[in-house]
Amino acid sequence: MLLPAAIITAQNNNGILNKFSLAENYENTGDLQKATKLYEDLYLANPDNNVFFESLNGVYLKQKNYAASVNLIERQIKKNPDDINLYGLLGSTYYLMGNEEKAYEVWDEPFTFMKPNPVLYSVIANYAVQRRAFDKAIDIYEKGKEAAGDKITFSYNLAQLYSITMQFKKAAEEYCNILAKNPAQLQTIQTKLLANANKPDALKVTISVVENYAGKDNLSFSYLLARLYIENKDYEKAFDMYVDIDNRQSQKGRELYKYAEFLFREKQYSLAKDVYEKIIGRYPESPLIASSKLGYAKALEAILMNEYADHVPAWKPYFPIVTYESEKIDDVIAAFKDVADVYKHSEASYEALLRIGMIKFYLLNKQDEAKSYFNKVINEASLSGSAADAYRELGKLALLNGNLTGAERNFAKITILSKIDLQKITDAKYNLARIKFYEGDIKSAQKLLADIMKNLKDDNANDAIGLSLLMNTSKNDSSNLLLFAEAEFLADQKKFTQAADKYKMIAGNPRAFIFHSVASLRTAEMMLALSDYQQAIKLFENVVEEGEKNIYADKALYLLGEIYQYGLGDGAKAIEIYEKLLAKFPLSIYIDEARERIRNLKEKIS
Amino acid sequence: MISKTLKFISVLLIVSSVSVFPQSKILIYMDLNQTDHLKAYGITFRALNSGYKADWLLNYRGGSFLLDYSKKLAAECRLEGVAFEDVSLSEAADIYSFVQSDENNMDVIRLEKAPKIAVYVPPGFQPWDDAVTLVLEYAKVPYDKIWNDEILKGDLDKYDWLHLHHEDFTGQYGKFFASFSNAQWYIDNQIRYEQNAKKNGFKKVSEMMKVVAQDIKSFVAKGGFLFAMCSATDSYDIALAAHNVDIVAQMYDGDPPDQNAQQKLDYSNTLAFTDFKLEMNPYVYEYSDIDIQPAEIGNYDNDYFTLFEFSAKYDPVPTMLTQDHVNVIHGFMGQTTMFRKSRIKKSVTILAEREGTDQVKYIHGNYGRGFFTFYGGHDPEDYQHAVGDPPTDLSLYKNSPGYRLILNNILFPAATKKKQKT
Repeated sequence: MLLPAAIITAQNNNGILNKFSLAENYENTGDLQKATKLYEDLYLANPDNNVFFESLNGVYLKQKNYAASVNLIERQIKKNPDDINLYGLLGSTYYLMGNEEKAYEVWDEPFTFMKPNPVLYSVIANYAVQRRAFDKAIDIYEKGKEAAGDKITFSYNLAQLYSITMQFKKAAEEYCNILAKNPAQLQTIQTKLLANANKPDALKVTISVVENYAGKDNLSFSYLLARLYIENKDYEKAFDMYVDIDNRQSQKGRELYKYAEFLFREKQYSLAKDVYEKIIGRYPESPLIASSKLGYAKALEAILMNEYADHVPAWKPYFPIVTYESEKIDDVIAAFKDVADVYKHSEASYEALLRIGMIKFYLLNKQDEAKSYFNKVINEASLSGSAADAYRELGKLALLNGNLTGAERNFAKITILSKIDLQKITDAKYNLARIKFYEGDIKSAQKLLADIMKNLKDDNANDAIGLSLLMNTSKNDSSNLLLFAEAEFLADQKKFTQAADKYKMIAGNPRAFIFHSVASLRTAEMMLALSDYQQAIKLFENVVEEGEKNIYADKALYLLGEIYQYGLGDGAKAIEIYEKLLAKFPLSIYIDEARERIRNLKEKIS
Repeated sequence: MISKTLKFISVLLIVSSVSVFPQSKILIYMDLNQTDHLKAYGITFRALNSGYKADWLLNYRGGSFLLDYSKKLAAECRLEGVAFEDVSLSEAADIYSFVQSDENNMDVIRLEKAPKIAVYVPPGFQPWDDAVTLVLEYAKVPYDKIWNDEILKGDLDKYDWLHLHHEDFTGQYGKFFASFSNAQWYIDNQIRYEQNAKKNGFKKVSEMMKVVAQDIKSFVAKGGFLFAMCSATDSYDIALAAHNVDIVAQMYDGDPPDQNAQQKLDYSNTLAFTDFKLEMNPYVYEYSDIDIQPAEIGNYDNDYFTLFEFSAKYDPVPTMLTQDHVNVIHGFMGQTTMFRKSRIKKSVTILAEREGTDQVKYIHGNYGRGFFTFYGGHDPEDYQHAVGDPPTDLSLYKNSPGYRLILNNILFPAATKKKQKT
């Protein structure tokens, strides 16, 4: 019986497919010998079928049967000498065998008889990359680049390979070549170059390459270089670049403004100030002028406050108001006034007024002027974000001047404001509790403190617990409690001498045993506030000598160390005191700080 | 009567041999009252470096240290926040007598010379940290970083103690391919290893790592101390077992593994493990069945391991390695978390395990004249420390019992070798 030819062919095809599926199954289940046999049968029966050829070659390689792979591919090359993929595969097999020399020779072979074209270079280089023969791939691409009319055909490939092999200078050269031809590639190239930035020396050499291109008309290089300078924290040079970019683009300070904002976030206040100043000076008509003025004022203020912080003896628990003279103060106030004018009746304007008030209060001790600024904020914008701060400052001013009614009124206002930070409300409540304590209204003070202590994570919780404890434990000693409250009130008014007298009275009263510890410490702290170091030392030493009898003995020892360190500049003696603190009070809360001080002082001394 | 007299004389000998008439001694107690267990090791280590002698009082108040008193040492303890007591010579004699008494499972080990420490760590950025390096830094124990170049040129001879960083000695780059093959750190790491292999004359990283593993083994054989954690434990032994066979998949070393890799493993060449089955799937984040899988561990709340108690007088080495203020410790995971008991060689001492399971946390053994200790898991104070997680701040874990076990290992080589009691 004769079957039609089509049916025979179809049956044959089914047989081949079944055989191939079976071979694949064997391969996948790890029975490579059976798979090889079937692939060989299939290949011999269908030598022109590329799928069978590749499968057979693959299974030879899986078994590390490199000789068979070489034979197979060479046989295929004889049939198709122009198939460049076969040279790629043959080179790969030699490379796997460990014969690099032969692999390179095979990969080079097509170039000897075929007309070079980009596809040829790409295909062969890809085989080299697959085998991680990066140097060879680079060599092929470099030759391709040389042969191509367009010198950037392989630049991305080369740049990537140079980056992988950590040849960052050459990578940067390639990326610059691309950017020179195609400025729109800036974002892509910047991302790729920044990815290398954290590798040793990469940023430095990249910058040196990009600098050679940046002078040219292509503005992308300037953007790239500015970004690289920022990455290298070379902010001055970045500034120059952005000035140049702004000049060449007539952007009226847009790039400079973005840069200034960045500098401010990075706490580079001095340079931020310069950049804002540049925008204000150069582009008075720019739409960014108002924002720049606010930025300028804030940068100036930040610089001033950094200097002021060094001037204030913040290490002392109490210290008098210290007026601060600096030419910068006028500049800051002028800058904020400018903002207040530009932004009239806006949040920024009221924030500027608040800042001016605070400078007048804390730095210049011009309390009346400060008060007028705070009142202006409250009167004109009682619902603004700055109102709570203005009430707080007015409360502090009143307290400083012994005006408990005024202080209470202002702090109480904060507690009924809506949409303000909860912390500001509890700050106000703590101040109110102290005011009630000064007034002798212990019950009200306790109620306010209890409210704060509900949240032990609150910043005021510890102080609230301390004050509450003092009031609770001295219920039966009301005369000393009131005397202590008076002394505390005087200390808050910075009337240190008068406060010291009252503390002394308490400390010297043998019946005031609950208050003895704290009053002894406070007496010494008042002397410290008055900068009477010798007296303060003597008093602190007395507290220390009381040892476990005085719960503040560790604090007294710590403050003694601070007197020697900051007040008298005697580092060696300070170390001795701090070490004594470690020895005598190993569980003190001042221990960690004392250790840090010892380490820092020892470093300074050595 | 005679035995009492002998005991008294031996105590006198210890006290008088410590130094010439010291005024008193510093007892750094290591029980639950210690304020900073980790820095206590640093103090002792640096004291040894400065020429002090120290005695390790095994099982006495958590494995305490007794050092000659000096103002400098006392000040340093205070500065570092390490609690101690001044003890007079007569009190010290009482302590020695108590510790050496036959009734107590305690002993005195004299520490004489701090070991010179090397940590095997690749250069460049690693998106994970290493518990040993962290604790050495925290305790201020000095160490050198070394890598393949140093090992291959024989620099291990300069060191007494070697720690293997979270490392893959099989040349499979941690088997992170499935999750991280496109991550920049992974790409950089692979090229760094490949360049290093090329520089050292190897065609493949896996080939270089086998030689490095073998060199480390020789270091141990010559009397070195090897400490490994996490994946450096099993991957190291696997590399030794695979010294004659390619077990690495194509994506890691460019060529396929030997089809009979499993059968060709040479377990006689390993230090700790045997009869393990390799995980040949290159996409699976596991080397073999040595490691215990998370599903086998179960609930985090129940993951505790127990330290074995050894006889201080008869087994001083395992006793030193298990000194701690607690003996049940919370577990912690790693690429290699714990070791399957059936895969541990019989010659190896198990120091800690999860009671009632085949899960072993901490093992120790000898090879040649040296010792090795393997500790499963990555970070004793971070249960599941993932790639990219920030390092643990040890100032928050000053009393970590898990970290203490690491530090036992750095002091143990300082112990004076004494004759084994018979």
